[in-house]
Amino acid sequence: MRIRRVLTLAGVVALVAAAAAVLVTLGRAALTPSSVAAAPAVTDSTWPYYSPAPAESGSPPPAARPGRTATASAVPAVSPAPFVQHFADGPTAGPQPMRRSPTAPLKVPAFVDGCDHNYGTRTQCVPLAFPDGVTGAAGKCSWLAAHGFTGLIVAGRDVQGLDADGDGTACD
Amino acid sequence: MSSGGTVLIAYRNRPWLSRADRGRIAQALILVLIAATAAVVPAGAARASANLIANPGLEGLDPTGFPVCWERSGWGDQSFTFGLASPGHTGANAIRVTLTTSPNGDRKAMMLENPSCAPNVTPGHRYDLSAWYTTTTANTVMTMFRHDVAQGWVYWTDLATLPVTSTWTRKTVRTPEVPAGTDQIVWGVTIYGVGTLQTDDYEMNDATQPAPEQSCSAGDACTRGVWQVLPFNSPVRAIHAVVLKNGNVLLVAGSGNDPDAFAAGTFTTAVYRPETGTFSNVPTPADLFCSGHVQLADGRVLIMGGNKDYPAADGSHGYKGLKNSYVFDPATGSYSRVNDMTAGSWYPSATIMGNGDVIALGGLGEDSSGTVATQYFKTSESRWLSLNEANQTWNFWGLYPSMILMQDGRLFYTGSHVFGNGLPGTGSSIYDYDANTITPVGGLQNKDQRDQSMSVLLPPAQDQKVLTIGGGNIDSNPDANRLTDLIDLKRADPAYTAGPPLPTGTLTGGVPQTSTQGKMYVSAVLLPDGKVFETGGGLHNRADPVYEASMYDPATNTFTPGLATDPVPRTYHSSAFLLPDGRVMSVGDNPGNGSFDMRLSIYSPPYLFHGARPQILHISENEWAYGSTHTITVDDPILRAELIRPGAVTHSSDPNQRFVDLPMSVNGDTIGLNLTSNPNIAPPGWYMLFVVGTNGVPSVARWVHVG
Ligand SMILES: [Cu+2]
Repeated sequence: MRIRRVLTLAGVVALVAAAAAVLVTLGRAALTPSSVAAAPAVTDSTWPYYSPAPAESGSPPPAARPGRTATASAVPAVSPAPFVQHFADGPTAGPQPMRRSPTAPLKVPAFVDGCDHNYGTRTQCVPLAFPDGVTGAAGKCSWLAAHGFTGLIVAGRDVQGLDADGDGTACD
Repeated sequence: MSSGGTVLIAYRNRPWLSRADRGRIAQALILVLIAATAAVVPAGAARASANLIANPGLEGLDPTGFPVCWERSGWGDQSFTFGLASPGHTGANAIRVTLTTSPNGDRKAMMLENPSCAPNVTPGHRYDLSAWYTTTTANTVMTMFRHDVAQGWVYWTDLATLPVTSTWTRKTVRTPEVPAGTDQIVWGVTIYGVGTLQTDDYEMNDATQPAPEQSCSAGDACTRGVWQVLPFNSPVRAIHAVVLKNGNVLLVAGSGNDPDAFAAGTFTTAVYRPETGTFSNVPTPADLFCSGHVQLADGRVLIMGGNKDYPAADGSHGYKGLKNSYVFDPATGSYSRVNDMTAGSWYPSATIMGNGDVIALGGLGEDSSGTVATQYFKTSESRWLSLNEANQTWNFWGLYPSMILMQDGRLFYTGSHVFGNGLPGTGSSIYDYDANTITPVGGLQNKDQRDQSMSVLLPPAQDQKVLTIGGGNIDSNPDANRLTDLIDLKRADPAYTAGPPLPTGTLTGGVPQTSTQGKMYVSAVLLPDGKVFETGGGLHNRADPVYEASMYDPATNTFTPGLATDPVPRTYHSSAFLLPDGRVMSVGDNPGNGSFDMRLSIYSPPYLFHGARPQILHISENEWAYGSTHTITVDDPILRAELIRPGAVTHSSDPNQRFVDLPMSVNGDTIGLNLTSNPNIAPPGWYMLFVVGTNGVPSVARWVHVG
């Protein structure tokens, strides 16, 4: 009959526990406010910096940012609108002044790649500026030789003076 | 109570009791007590392990009637209410947040950011966060903040969207590894659209898995990785490289900076198949040398501009840009033409936006002047808009300007560019296409020597940090530098700060670099373990290769130097990119003497020598909508999962390269992968899905389509 005593004890414990749970729940229910809490002033530090969206202008060009139209709708959304954070929204620098539509092409140096196309084939690159310490025709020619330039033609003018004998081939 | 009851009934039916039975009865009694305890503590805490949340069931209330340790949080101009719903999921209370209008902003019940309420965490650990909820709107997100010992409370990351449900549902998401310098976190569920969200029974458990014993028997490769030069050459000058959605690699030469090919009108492209080591040639309709390229949302590749002419020897004209544009389709292996751009584009940038459209900036026009148009490809109409259909700033952005899409849809010009000086001013900026503004960003070091540096959006994209590495200047031709610059685009007023110096390597003949020598023509590749592999480069304008490779860890902001170096020089017109098998491929080298190195190299990072690779056994589907969860099964526990956008790189420029973390809902070997709701974090397209095992070894990628 020992087992019956054990079972009885277990039952008592369970009953006590259940009763306690009911009491706790009732106690909490009594604490529950009957009305919904009013919207508070927001004070926590988790908000992003917020700045109002700039006013839209005239005819709308395509928007590159996904819209958040779902958030403005009165109907709950079934698929989520993009959740976008307001990061990088408080720059101390102001935007650059707006440019006017250009009236002339924007000039870019012809040798934009830093290569002196007076020399070599159109896709070789004799530097416009040689690395530090490489100077004079001899210095430049030995640098070019060390970098695998052979039979370097003067395709334009010999502006760097690499074709002392004037035969149309530099550094020979 | 039910489990205890079942146990009791089971024992009553037994006729006879042994000593062992009495032991079982004692166990049953303990079960009953546990069940009773659970009834007294209605926290929904099924687990016995410690729930780290204070007042998780929201039952304890403060004098205002709001749950202790919780606060009403959020911002914006909504009409909203915070209140308690009764009963809750369990117990008397749940928190109910209702938005009746929601023009902007968000609202959330958050754990209080104070030492007694915010859960303590350990750096390097991961935690399973869960909450029970109902919601009438899908505009919800689990958001975390962390307490940084230096910065105070800062945003950490978003974890998952909670789909609409009217019955109490539980969502569990595992955090990424807690960053160093973090001692507490708080989190909650945000609602940012009209509707009602109820939450209850929050739980947070340490889910850190012990790292298995690292075993590596590959010697040097364990720490440095290994390079292999392939036994065959590229059939084309691989100046442009695009990893395709089928795992093949598009290698575009056009004329390939080869004057004979240009004169003959011989333009080339090849598709390389890594799995078989074979190539196929692709008829190439124009000189796509110097073009821009980007994967479209459907995995086809938009190619824009190219080389209309090389400069004249007498300087009467410079390089000229083509207006032509093509779409390469991996399925057919062919180009098809779309309408012309509004301006010639030689060295244009191309960035895909969150809506799937493409913005191209910079480059040289048909008359070799600077292209100042913003060129906008509207994907839905498969055409370039006319000049006045797109917003115009008339700003000249230079050549291959690195324009990285930010999480709010603006473009960050990193200051990384090709040729000469940086742009006037600070050398970097934020371009807002919609508002048509350009706002300077400060802090970039030596902005006029960042020519052919490389910028990457660091893993994960959610962290919104960019690293810019090295650079030089082809005009003044100084030694390329060791500068690195880091920017956190989450800051209200972001500015670059100096990063650790790039490690030094050796020059031709094994000559060590001096302490001031770095490199331009650098390649930086996002790896599936969340690190950045940086390789290749040179010291001067089309000269003096630098043999150096290192691993940058965004979590620690450090470079691990001394990785194995590519035996092939990789200077001008070289690129490196991630293959879907987790290795890195490196192509191209075009020194000033006009030669071109056709060798191909493959790098196996150290992680490939540290044990078995986890297997993605099954994916529920490969079409992934924003804000959705997709189930995979894996063969072993995994540390993280992510999407990596396949490379589309040239001239150290791939502004679309990104690594998108997929917060995991872990249930044994079945893992829910939660995709961001924000397309600016993961622009539409095909991505490589990787998982990383607890041994730090990544899987082979599976392809999924986002958007
Ligand atoms: Cu180039």
